[in-house]
Amino acid sequence: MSIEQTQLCRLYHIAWRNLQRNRLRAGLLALSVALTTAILFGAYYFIHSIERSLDAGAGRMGADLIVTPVGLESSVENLLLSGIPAQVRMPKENSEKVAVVNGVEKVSPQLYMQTFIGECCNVYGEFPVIAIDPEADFTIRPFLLNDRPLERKEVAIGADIGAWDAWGMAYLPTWSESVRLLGTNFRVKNLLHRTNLGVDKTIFMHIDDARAIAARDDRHSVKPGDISVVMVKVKPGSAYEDVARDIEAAVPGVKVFTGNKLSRFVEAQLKPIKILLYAITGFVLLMASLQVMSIFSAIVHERRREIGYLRAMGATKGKVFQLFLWEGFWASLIGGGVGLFIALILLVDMRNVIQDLIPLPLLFPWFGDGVIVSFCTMVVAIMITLLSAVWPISRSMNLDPYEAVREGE
Amino acid sequence: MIELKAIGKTYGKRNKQRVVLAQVNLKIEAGEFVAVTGPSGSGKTTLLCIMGALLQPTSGEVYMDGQRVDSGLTENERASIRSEKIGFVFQFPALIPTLTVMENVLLPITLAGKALDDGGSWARQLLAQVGLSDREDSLPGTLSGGEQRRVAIARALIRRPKVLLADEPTGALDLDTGNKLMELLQNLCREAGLTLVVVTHDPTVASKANREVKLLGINQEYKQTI
Ligand SMILES: Nc1ncnc2c1ncn2[C@@H]1O[C@H](COP(=O)(O)OP(=O)(O)O)[C@@H](O)[C@H]1O
Ligand SMILES: [Mg+2]
Repeated sequence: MSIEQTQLCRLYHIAWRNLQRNRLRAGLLALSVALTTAILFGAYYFIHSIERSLDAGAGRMGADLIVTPVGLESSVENLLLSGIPAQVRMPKENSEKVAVVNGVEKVSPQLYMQTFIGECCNVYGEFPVIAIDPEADFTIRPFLLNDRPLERKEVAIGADIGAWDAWGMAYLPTWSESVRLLGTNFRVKNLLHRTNLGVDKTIFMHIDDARAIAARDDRHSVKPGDISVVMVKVKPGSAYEDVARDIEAAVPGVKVFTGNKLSRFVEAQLKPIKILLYAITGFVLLMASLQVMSIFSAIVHERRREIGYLRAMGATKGKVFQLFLWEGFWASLIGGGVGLFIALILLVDMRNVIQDLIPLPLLFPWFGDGVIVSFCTMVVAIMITLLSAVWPISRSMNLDPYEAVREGE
Repeated sequence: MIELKAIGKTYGKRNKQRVVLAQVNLKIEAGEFVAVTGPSGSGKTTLLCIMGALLQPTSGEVYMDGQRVDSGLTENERASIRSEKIGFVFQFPALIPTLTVMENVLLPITLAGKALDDGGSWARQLLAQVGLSDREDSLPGTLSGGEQRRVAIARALIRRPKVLLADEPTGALDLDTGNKLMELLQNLCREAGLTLVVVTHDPTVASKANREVKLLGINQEYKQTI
């Protein structure tokens, strides 16, 4: 050695080398942790997605209540799917009147402009154009890929329309696409997550732009003071039916629908799936834990004499314990990393494939949330490994060092 | 340095008890070289481990450097006494196969959670003394049985203990290698003024010792020759 300094090996360093004493076993341990991590991550991601979409659904197209002008009743089905392709409108003051009714927490007016037939973002089709008030909106906001309110001269598009551009939109700051609607150029600035509902084919614009267009172009049937519907969020604790009746009494010419039927329906359908997922996840964790226990039993059994020698060398039980725990830590860190990588590729990169396979209103978490979730999953997988290793290690620690040293002599 | 007072050791449960040591009194002065001999199963290893605070006697008192070590101490305190005052050499070298020779020698320092404050010069000096200077970075698997034992000796001395306890250190070695190893062990201990206790089968080893302690086995007649 040319350098006169010698580095002292640390416990974690020794543990790392110990792991390499039986690479196959270390590999199997890591693989087991990888699978645990991937399943844990997948299950969490899936449950989280369902829950987010239910949350969003409850206050979304299925806003607690939907206030429509009388005459729009026939389109309620479409309303729930947020298409609103109806030419019946009401004055925007209705929105303010609804807002002050007892039991109303939030209101968000929406205005159906027209159905645009043409090409947007390389996708050709019929797309309802709906104007929203970004300040008041609580319906599409949870679905936006980039969590920023819509600005003037911008549109947000549904997942079906933005399919080709989703990645550019999400990850390229310079990404830019425009569309000409109603004689005005708009920049496509945001994309909605897939909902498997009508929203996927809808274009959303700023309500002020819609009013400007209506004011400028009187051939259009929309008047600057029009709105189509008012989405209502009810204060917690208020009965929907009571609030609906109060609104109909306070605002003449409107009909109120309870819009949460859809989400209640979906929720009921998803419940068994969720329970199943939780149960499977639990069993996987249990199995992983048993796996780690048996692997560590083998490791400590194999090295019981070495444990005796270490103790004779003056190592405390705690130090020997740490040495083995570090070994478990390294294996699970590698395994966790690999598992996460697989899970992320499957879930983030193939989310469209998954969404096609699973016809549910899945709302995937934000990318940032995904990173946090991955980190947590990995921590959980590592913790499970370490906790499961504790029992076999501590059992071997009960062996008198003398016993270990005497053996084989 | 080491004092055993009326040591008794019994293994097993009540109905199947087996007395291995009874009424062993022994006083070993600092710097002494003591050989422990006796037939297989007579309790030599047991005795050595009791001296080294690795095993608790059933009765009696054990003193190391004036401090009582068999009772009144926690497991961790005993570990720290082993770490600071005692070096063990066993029949098998028990090196960690994935650590280099140097790293194996430094292992007791790592386990004690201490820093390497001399940059490894003491470890290097020890390796030179056991004739393995050029094998610092080798893995134990590439060393011969005799060389591995020499590494184990260097490892036992790294914390500058006061006592070296060796249990058949030449076991499973050929005669010539065994003799050389024994000589090395003795010289190292003499130079450093260490107390050396060696369990051995070999009468020539025993004859070199200052004293031979003979354990007679089953009947537990205990005899000490001076
Ligand atoms: N845990 C134990 N339970 C029962 N008997 C034991 C135990 N440990 C050692 N012995 C017995 O004690 C005797 C002394 O063992 P040991 O000290 O290893 O002898 P030596 O080193 O002289 O060969 C042996 O007969 C052995 O079988
Ligand atoms: Mg023995």
